[in-house]
Amino acid sequence: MPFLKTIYLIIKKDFISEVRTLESVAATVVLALVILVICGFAFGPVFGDLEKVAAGIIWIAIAFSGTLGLSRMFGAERENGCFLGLVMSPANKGAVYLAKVITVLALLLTVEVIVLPAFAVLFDYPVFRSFWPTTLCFLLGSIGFAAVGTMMATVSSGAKRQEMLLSVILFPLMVPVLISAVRSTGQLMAGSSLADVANWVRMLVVCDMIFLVSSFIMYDLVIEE
Amino acid sequence: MELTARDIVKGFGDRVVLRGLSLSVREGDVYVLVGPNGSGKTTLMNILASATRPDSGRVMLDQEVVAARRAEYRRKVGFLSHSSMLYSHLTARENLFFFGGLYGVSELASRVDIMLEQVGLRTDGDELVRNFSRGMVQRLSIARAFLHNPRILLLDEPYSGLDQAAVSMLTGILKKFSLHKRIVVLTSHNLEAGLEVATRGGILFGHRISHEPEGKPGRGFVNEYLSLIGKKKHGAD
Repeated sequence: MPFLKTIYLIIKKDFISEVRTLESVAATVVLALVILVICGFAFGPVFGDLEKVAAGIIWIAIAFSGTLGLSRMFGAERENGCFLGLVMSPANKGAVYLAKVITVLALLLTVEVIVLPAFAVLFDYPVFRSFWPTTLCFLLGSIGFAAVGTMMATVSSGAKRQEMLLSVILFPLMVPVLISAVRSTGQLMAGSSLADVANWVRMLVVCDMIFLVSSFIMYDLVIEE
Repeated sequence: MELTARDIVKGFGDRVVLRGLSLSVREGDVYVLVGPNGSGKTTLMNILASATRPDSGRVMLDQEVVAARRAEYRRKVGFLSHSSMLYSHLTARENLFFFGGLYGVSELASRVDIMLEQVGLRTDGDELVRNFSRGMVQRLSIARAFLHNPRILLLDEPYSGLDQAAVSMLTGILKKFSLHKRIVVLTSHNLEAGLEVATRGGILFGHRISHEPEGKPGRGFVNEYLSLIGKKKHGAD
């Protein structure tokens, strides 16, 4: 079974299911917007040091809603024992992992496309002072989240209290990615250049590589358990 | 080709389900496994399918340990479990295309049409699985298990939820299938249907195969099974 065909088949299947139900996207976007609105009432556009907390608010919205999205996605995969069907197939399990990472990443990017403009409007704050560097940092942070999140959602998806367990095991591992993402996007939104945040970007790239490669290698073992 | 389970032990927590179970099925055999509820039939099927690891013991295909070549083994196995393994938001046809693609089935479109026809779902192929009845889901699960023309077929309660017409349909498919030198292991509470296709049989009781007659199981097999069920009932009471 060619590696790329497995990835294509799983992404296509997830896309068709999601378009029909909007189960993960709707829940994720709504939660992200609710978090923004609550923070909007708490801080508001008149808050003096908004540039210090802007990136934190955005990444809280992305991380919390993304966790819910992960739960929904993998919950749907467990329904009717479908995940067992994937495990039992001769498909390369690394390909299964990458397909799931791409699906989760697509979900996160969809959320960000909605959340970032919403944040700019609610807080009257220029999110994209430097468009491409900021986009790059959000993309790198999201890749890190998807890489760890997919692995941890697989680990927790067989558990009885899946959503609680996912949060407990996901966020400690996410700390380096979240810190780097918050720092880099925060400084870029405050007007710094890409060169100013180069160390944080490097950190994001390294974290993404470590999480992607180690999870890709270990996924076969995890999925079998 | 010979599928062998040797000295299988499996427990969940303190509860031992299988203790030193051994079983051997050759190509051309349709092996019907019966046993009371909780006797470990599903656990054994999951172990034979390589979906669950035994605590000790091993499953072998032609003297090769399955755990060492799991991906290759799974390509040869068609597995019907208690879960349908079907995506409810996909249509019947989309489900078969998805799994057929994962197994690298050649001429997939015509194979999918043939399987839908065989299980009596030809006109329902474009319906979402979530709209299917229990019996229709079971028919589609059977189609999924047969789709890649497996050499080993493991069916856990395949008659569950099927009406009489579907039971006859499955019996017909299994009879044809067994003619092609394949291995079939199935569990069933429907003794009549199970024994119609069986060439061999075994009763799973007391954590192992307690009774396994030579050749096709007949009246004596049924009597033995009923007496063991009676014993279990009295034991429980």
